[in-house]
Amino acid sequence: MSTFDLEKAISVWRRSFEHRRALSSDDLEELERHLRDHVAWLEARGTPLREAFEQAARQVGEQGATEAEYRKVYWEKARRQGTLTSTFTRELAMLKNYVKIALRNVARHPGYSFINVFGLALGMAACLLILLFVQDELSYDRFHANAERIHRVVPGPKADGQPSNANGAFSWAPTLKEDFSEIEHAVRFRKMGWGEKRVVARGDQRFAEEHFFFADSTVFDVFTFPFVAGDPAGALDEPNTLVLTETMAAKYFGKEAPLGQVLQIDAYNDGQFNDYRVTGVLADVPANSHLQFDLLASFSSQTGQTEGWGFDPVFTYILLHKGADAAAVDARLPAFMERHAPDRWYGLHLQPLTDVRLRSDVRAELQPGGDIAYVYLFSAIAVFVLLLACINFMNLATARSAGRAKEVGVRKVLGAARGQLLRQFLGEAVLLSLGAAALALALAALLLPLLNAVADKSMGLGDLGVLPLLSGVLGLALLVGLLSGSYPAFFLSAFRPAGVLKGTGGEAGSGAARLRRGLVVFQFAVTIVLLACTAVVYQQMDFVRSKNLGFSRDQVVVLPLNDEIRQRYDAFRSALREGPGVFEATATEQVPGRAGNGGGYLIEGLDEEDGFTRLFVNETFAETYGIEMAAGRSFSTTRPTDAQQAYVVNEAFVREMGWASPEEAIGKQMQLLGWDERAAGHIIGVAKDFHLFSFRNGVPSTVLNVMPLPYLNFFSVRLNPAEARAALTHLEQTWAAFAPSYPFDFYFIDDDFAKLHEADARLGQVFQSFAFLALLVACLGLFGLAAFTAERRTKEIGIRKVLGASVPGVVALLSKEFANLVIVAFVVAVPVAYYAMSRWLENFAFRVELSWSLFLLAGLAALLIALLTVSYQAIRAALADPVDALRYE
Amino acid sequence: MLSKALTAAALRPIMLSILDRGEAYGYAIIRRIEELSDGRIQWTAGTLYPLLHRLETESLVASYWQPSESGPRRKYYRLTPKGAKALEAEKRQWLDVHALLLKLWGPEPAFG
Repeated sequence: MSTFDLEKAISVWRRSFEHRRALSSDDLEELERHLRDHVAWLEARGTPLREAFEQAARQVGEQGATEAEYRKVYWEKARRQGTLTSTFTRELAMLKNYVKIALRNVARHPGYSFINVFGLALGMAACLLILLFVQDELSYDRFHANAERIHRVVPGPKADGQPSNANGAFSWAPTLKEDFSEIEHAVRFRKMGWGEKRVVARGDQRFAEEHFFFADSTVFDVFTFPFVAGDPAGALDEPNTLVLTETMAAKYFGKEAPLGQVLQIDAYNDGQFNDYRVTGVLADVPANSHLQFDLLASFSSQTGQTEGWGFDPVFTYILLHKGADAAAVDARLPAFMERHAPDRWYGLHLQPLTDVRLRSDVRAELQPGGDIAYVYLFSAIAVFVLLLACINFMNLATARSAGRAKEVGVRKVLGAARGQLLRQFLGEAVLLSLGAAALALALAALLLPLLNAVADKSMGLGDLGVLPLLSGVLGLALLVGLLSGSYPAFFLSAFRPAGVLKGTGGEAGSGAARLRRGLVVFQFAVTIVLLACTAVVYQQMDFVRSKNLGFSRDQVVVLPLNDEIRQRYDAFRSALREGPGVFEATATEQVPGRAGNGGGYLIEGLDEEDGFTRLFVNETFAETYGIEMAAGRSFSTTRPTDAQQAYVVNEAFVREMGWASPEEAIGKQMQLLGWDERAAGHIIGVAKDFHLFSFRNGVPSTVLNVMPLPYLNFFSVRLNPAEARAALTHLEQTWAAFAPSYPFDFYFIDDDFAKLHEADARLGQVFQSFAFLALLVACLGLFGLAAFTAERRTKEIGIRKVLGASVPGVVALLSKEFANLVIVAFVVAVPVAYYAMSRWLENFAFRVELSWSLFLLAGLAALLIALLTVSYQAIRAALADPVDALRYE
Repeated sequence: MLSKALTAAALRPIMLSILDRGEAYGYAIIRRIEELSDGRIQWTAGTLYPLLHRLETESLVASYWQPSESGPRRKYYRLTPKGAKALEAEKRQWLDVHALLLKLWGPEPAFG
């Protein structure tokens, strides 16, 4: 006879309760104790243990009955609590349910969910990045405490009423300050040279620095550049004082304290090194400043002329008193010029500091500017990409809604109110969009370095501020969730349950299908526009790269002139030409691509002085740059009078003067004013137009004349492309022999020209990236829709195949629908893209022709990609065994 | 044995009355009732504990766990002040019914 094990029996008894989770553990413990008590009581009265247990268990109650009693109590308790703690718990339970259903849905359709969430995340990430870009552009120069009161003084031809240059004359700032009580401070920056570096030395340590300026002592009263060491007040009061940035301080002084230290600088590239005492160290200039400098020397340190009304690389800024009216000052500027310099060709304008980056289009800008149009454009693209992603989301959700019609029906029959269903579907959408937002943040962080590289910025996600960023993304996610969830939500919750459950009302109605088609058309229209724009921008940039500049851009190397070279110029040039691979060399005041100066001229047939772009050169200029003559001849060393009396103009000049032909210009009298070295002379030749500025500006009317070496700043050498390497080595060695104290700091002129169009080239790249993103998002959507369609038509395809349809036939059937949509999108997109691109090209004086084939190509590309996307699904559906298809369901 | 209806009606007053005499755990309550009724009134665990739960949610009864020397801990119940008040009301009602029945079952009264 087996012995009865009470503990084992109780544990079995207990487990049966636990298994069904009918009782709380607390209650079960109490019940178990009760059982034990009863067994003990029975046993004490002589009942055998096994029997005692069975009897006690019976007494505790048949499981079913006991549980039922308990359940009643639990319910009551829950209801009671429910009314006590309002509806909170119930809501929580519903919320839990929504989340559960949503997650189940995600798990059941991982493919769709991925497309949905990833597409949305991509859209949001793109939007976020563009936002960052736009924010960075808008933030330029706003870090100055007085940013709103600072204006730049810019000149422009009197007739235009528009500024044409960023730089100006020495005398503006002091005279303005004297004449206008509204002006609190005026400050001048003198940029040394147009890109030639200055040699800065500390003992044997020598570096060539590009961002060296002289600045008035008022600079820190006007601008906010925080000091790391030293006192801004009076830092640049004395001659030969210097303020430099932290990076520079570390470069020259390492760990030593920079204050009071001395640097030797050859500010004029003339071999004269002067001592400058460091009086302050600045935090590095923020990237979003149009003024970029490394070293600022006091204005009073300058030797030579520092006044006058002619143009120099001087940039003038004023700080207005609080409450002063800039427009009123601006209105009195013509009278001001009339008082002080009536015979000058230019007038003055005030330009708000905060407009310099985005709303200014002048020459000789310190930094290549941005363009407010691009900011708007990118913002629009951000909105569009986001919209595309939202549309996908809506499209897929509505498309899938038919599959969920039964669920809605059951919920409705079980008493779900419309509001609850709305909340469920909106909640699902929001949940997915929140997931997408998290993914978007990760994607944005991943893609940001790429954007930074393309846009040449150093932005961080934190730049937007952590709180605004997070709340923005969260807000965006909520908005997108609500927006993209709303259509399916309203659509689904409006189902009539009877119809749905009978299987008739669940189809997305023709209205929904129309909307879906409309959305696909919209998506592809946007994509095609972006593609076409990318193609046009690319073409234009290619044109810029390859267009004839009017001079030979290949293998022209430019070096800054200095006094060591100037003193032995002829010997240096001869030595160079003796070596391998050097065709010709010349000295010029400025270099094509960096020209910016103008001059006043008296010309035969004009009553008064007129301003033109001037270029000081020497006799070998045309040969070195390969400039062709339209008429007459170029300067020659064999004719001594050329040095003082000869002028060469360009074709644009001839046109502006209204002369019938280049030949007519030859022999006309003219004189450059304001330079003792120049006497009255005449035009000896007309050069074919060559580019001095970017393609946006066109070719200005230009006058060339020979000037003595002290006025010339650059040395250009034309190399033989076949021997470029040897030539460069030879150039470097010769340079070292003739100018041992100057670094061999050269650049190729075509690189420099490319830099002029960097902003446009960047635009092209940014366009390209976003067109790609848009295309990706659109294709993801199309892929999802195609999959859905194929799935819905499985039966139809099966029947068609059984009846003899071929695989290509079925593929064509499925693809045709989408192809038609893309064609409609193409028709919509072309005029938009055409208009947008012709507007953009208007910015360029020299531009490509818009060709229809380009748009056709963009459309075909979109169509091809769409078909490829769809065909994967179509082919899969077409290849499926019809037997499986018909057995399905 | 009591009828089902009467058992149900008597649950609350009996439980409250028992606890009024002192704290007790579930099994002890069942034993007590059995003893006092000479075995005529027998409750099952399935009746007792849900009743205690209900009284507890109405805050007529409070409970706490107490270690026991004879085995696992036991859950004890006691009457709350609110429970004591509820018992008074129950008592009055039962006494009303009791008085009425006694009168009805007594010698026929004279009408007139």
